[in-house]
Amino acid sequence: MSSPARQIAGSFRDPSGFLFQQDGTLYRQINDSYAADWQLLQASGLLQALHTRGWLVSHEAAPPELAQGESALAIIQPRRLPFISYPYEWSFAQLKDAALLTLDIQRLALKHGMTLKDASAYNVQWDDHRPIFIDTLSFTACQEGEPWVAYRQFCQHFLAPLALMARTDCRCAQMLRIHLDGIPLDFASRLMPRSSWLNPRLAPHLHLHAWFQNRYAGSGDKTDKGRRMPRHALAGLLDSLRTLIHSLKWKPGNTEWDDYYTETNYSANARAHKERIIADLLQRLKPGTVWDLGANRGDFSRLASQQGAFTVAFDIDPSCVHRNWRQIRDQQETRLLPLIQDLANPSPSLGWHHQERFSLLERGPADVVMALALIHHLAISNNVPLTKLASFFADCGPELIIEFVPKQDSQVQRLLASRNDIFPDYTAAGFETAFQACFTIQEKVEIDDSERTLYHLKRHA
Amino acid sequence: MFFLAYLDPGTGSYLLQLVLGLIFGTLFFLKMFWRRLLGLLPGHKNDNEDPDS
Repeated sequence: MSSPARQIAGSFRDPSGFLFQQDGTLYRQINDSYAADWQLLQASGLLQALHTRGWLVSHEAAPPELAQGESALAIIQPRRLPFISYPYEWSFAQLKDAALLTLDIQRLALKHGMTLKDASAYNVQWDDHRPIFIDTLSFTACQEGEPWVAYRQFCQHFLAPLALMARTDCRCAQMLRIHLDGIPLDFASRLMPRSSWLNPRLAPHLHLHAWFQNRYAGSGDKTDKGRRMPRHALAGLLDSLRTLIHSLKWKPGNTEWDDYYTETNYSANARAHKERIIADLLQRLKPGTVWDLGANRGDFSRLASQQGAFTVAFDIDPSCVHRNWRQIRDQQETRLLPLIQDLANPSPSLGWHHQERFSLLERGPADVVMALALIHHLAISNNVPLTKLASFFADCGPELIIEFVPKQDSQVQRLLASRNDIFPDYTAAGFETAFQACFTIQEKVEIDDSERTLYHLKRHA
Repeated sequence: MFFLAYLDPGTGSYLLQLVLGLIFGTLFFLKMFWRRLLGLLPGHKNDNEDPDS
């Protein structure tokens, strides 16, 4: 017997259709109101062109009996991506790649007589080393002379955060977590350095845009919306946006974690031993999905992705995630997704009814969780008790590969140098006791040439 | 936010597009014209970024 269909909350705003899940499969319903555009999308060749380029997630036709309600025109089954991530979890390089894809799709759509009716960053996800557009119903017929209806949204979702990251501070990207429809342009304009007013590419789309919004806010129907925008003017606008986005650069600074691999206290022998133990464990566990928490630039994440597991490499440092993504993109790596995540304050459920954007744990569990050289930071720098760490990791997945870094370790000594040692339970024995509340110790290996121990723990049934 | 509830930021965006479309549209036209002109020269490599090409 099939289970009842469950509508995916993040897709309720669009009257053209919605996503729903039934018996573990994801479907998209296309409503009658989208009939003309759906016909044009296929007949114009745009759908085919998008799929050929790998720009839009592919789909198969699904049985019409799955229709939810009277208004269904068709049901499709989109190819399911292994992990849905959000713009506030992306690095600068990822947001920029997503922006360029959106503009390329809009230019391609115009050539086929269609246009993107929204330019939300949430419509872009990651397919191995490339961004991919996931909303098949974002395309609508382009009326001659009509400006780009999603121009403002594009500037809020992509231009404003990228410009702020490039010119003000890369941490400004976190504002996307508060402003789910992108950073308001007047706000972004105020936060930009004054010199940005002199930038002839940036100033019109950001500063002048914010000024126009403010100047004409409330003018409503007094404004003549009947004026036309010739096609070459629209092409010029898109070309200027593409050139602008392309020109925005962010150079990762020397952040705390960026030099981590060169700054660790591992000898070559210890590191090789650690890699062997982890690779061997992964070989035996054969996970489908792995979350590497505190992954840095993903050296150990690759042990999992190269064995065939879809691996998410989470790190708190935007520089590490930025470099990791660029490596994945440049080397065309597969099954590896780097994301920014502060484990002391992980992504929450957001949006309407707390259901539009899922929390980190709602997007789990992973088959295997790795926490390498991590817990001393959470336990000592963030004062999280070991029992709390155990219960968080248990919620992330059933198998845990975790490295215990004792107080004698020089890296922990560095952490303790600037704070009182109020962690009497932070010992190997204390760690084992705390974690045995949620896990059983399957295996325990001391890493050669170091003070550290690797554990394989299995969550209690 | 209440104080923004009845204000429409879309109007400003709409009008700005008309203005910028005029400027960038002209620049784009000249850019394309220049590229085509260069393309006529012997030995010139076409670096058109057209997504449909």
